[in-house]
Amino acid sequence: MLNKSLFTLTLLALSGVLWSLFNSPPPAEFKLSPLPLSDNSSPFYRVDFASHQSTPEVHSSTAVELADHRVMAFWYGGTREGHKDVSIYSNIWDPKTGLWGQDREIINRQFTRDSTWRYIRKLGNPVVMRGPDQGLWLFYVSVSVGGWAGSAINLSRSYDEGQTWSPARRLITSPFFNLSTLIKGKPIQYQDGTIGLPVYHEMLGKFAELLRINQDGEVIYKTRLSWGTHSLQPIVFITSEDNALVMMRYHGSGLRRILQTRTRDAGLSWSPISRSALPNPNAGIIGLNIQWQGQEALLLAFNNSEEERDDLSLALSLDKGQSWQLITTIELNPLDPPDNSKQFSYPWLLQTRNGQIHLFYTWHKNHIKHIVFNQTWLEQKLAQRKKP
Amino acid sequence: MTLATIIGLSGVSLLLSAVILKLLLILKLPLNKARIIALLVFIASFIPVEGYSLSLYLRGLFNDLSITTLCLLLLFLYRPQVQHIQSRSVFILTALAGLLLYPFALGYSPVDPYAWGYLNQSHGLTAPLTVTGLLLFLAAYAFIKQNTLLMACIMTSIIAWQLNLLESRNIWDHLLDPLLWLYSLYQLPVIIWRHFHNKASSQ
Repeated sequence: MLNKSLFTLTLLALSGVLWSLFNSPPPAEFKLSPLPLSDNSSPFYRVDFASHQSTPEVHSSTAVELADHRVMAFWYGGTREGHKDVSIYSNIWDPKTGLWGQDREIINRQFTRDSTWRYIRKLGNPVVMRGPDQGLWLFYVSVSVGGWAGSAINLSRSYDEGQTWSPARRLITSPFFNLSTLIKGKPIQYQDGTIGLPVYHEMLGKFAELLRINQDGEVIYKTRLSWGTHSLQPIVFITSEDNALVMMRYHGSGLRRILQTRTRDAGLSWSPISRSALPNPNAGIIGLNIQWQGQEALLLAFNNSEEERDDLSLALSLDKGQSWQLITTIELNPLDPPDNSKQFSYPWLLQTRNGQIHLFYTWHKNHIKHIVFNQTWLEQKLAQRKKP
Repeated sequence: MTLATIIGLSGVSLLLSAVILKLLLILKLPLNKARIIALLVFIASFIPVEGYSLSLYLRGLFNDLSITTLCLLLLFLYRPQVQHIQSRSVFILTALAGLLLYPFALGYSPVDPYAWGYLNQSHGLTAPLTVTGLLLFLAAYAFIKQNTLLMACIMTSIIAWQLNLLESRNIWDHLLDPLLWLYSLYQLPVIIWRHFHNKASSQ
C-alpha cells in the first residue's frame, strides 16, 4: 500500500516536471546591444589611475557606465592575492572633471559569509554588468577551501547605481562540491532576458563554460566551450543573433596562442578549439564590439607576447575575428630577468554612450590603470603603424 | 535566511551528528546516551564563535547535501542499529551515477551530463526528456522491486527540485552529492561480498 502511494506520488511529481519542462522558454538567440556611435572629434587620450593605493596589491578590474554617465570601476585588493584581507573595492570616474573619487570597499569576506551562509576564506575576480533588470550585477569569486581551484561564484546586485549592494547569492555551477568555477570575461545577454556568463574551471581540468543565468540570478543551464587542461578565461564576441566568437587564455605548452571557438546556433553547439594568430603568455584578455568607420568591428586588449605580461596591446578585427591587425602598444616594459610584480595584465574594455573607450588593467600589481581614448585616436595610431 | 539555507545548514549538521552517533555506537555507548550526545552536537554546530559556526564551515567545505543523502541520514538517525537492506540499491545506483557525473564535471570530456539535469528547454528537449524518462524507469524499478527507500529518495528529490528546496536548479544535485558517491563506492565491495557470502550460505 505504501509503495503504491509512493509510486503514485512519484508519477505525479514527474508529471509536474514535464509540465514545467514544456512551459520553460525555448532556446533563445543572442541579444545585440546597440553600439555607441563613434566619437569622431579630435584625437583624445588620457591616462590616470582608478585605484589609489588603499591596499598594497590590486588586481582584476571591471567597470560599468552609470546612468549619469559616470564610470564605476571595481577590482579586488588586499595585502596580497589570496590574503584574508582581500575585499572588492570600487571607485567612480566623473567625465565632467576627468577625476576619480576615493576608493571604497564594497564587499568583503564577512559580507559574503553572512549572505551566502558559508565559511569564506578569500575573495577574487569581480565582473560587473548592467543586468536585464537595469540593475548593476556584480559577480565575484570566493574561496572556502584551498586555492583558486576551490572557487565559487557569488552574485550581488545594486539598484541605486552602486551605492548599496544586495546580499550575495551563491551560484551553483558544479556537481563536485560546487568547486572550481571562476570568472574574468564580460557577460552577454540573450533575447529572452537571460544572461550568458563566461566562466572557467581550474581544478584538475582547465576548461571554459558558458553559464545561462535567469533574471533571479539562478544558473539554468551551462554549455561547455572547451575541455581538457589548457583553456581559461573565455571572452565572448557576439557577431550576430546566432553567431559568436569565444577567445580564451592558453594554459599549456607548445605554441602559445589565444585559443578560439565559434558558434553558429546561438551557443547550442561550439566548434572545436583552434589557435588564433595572436600570442598569449598564459594571461587574461578582453574584447569589445565597436563601430569602425561605419562597420562593426572587434577590439581586443591582450598581452602581445608568448612569454611575459610586459606588453599590453590593442588589436582590431574587421572580419569577425578571422584576422587581426595590431593598432598600438599601450605598455611595453621588457624586464630581464622577468619580474612578475611589474606586469600589465587582466585588461577590461568598456565603451560609454558618448563613444569613448575605457581601458582598465592591473599595473605592476599595485594600481588599476585607466586609459580613456576616442576612436579618432585609435585611427591615428593605426595609420601611424601602417606608415612605411 | 531562506528555506534552502536552512536545509543546507541543517544537512551538514545532520551529517556531523550521524558520524558522531556511529562512532559512539562503535564505542559501545548505550543508544539513548549516544542519541543525546548526537543531538547536542547537532545543536552546538549552529552556535557561532566569532561569527563562524561549525555548520558554516562544513557548508563551505561540502556545499549542500543532496535530498537522497538527507533521507539516508534521517533514516540512520531514526534507526541507527538496523541494517537497511533497501539502501544497497541506492548505493549501487549512486556509485554508477557518480561515475557518469563527476569525472566529466572535471573537464575530461566535451560532454557534460551534469548540464542535462537542468530540465528546461533552453538547449532543446532531448536531454531533459531523457533524464525524466530515466527517473520514471528508476521509480518503476523501485516499485517492481518493492524498494520503498529507493522510491522515497527519488520522489522527495523530484519534489524538492520542484519546490526549489536547494539552491541548485539541477536535479542531479538533489539526487546525489560527492560525499554520498564516495560513501557508495566504499559500500560497493561490502555489498558485493555480502551478496556472494549469502549465496554461498544458502547453498
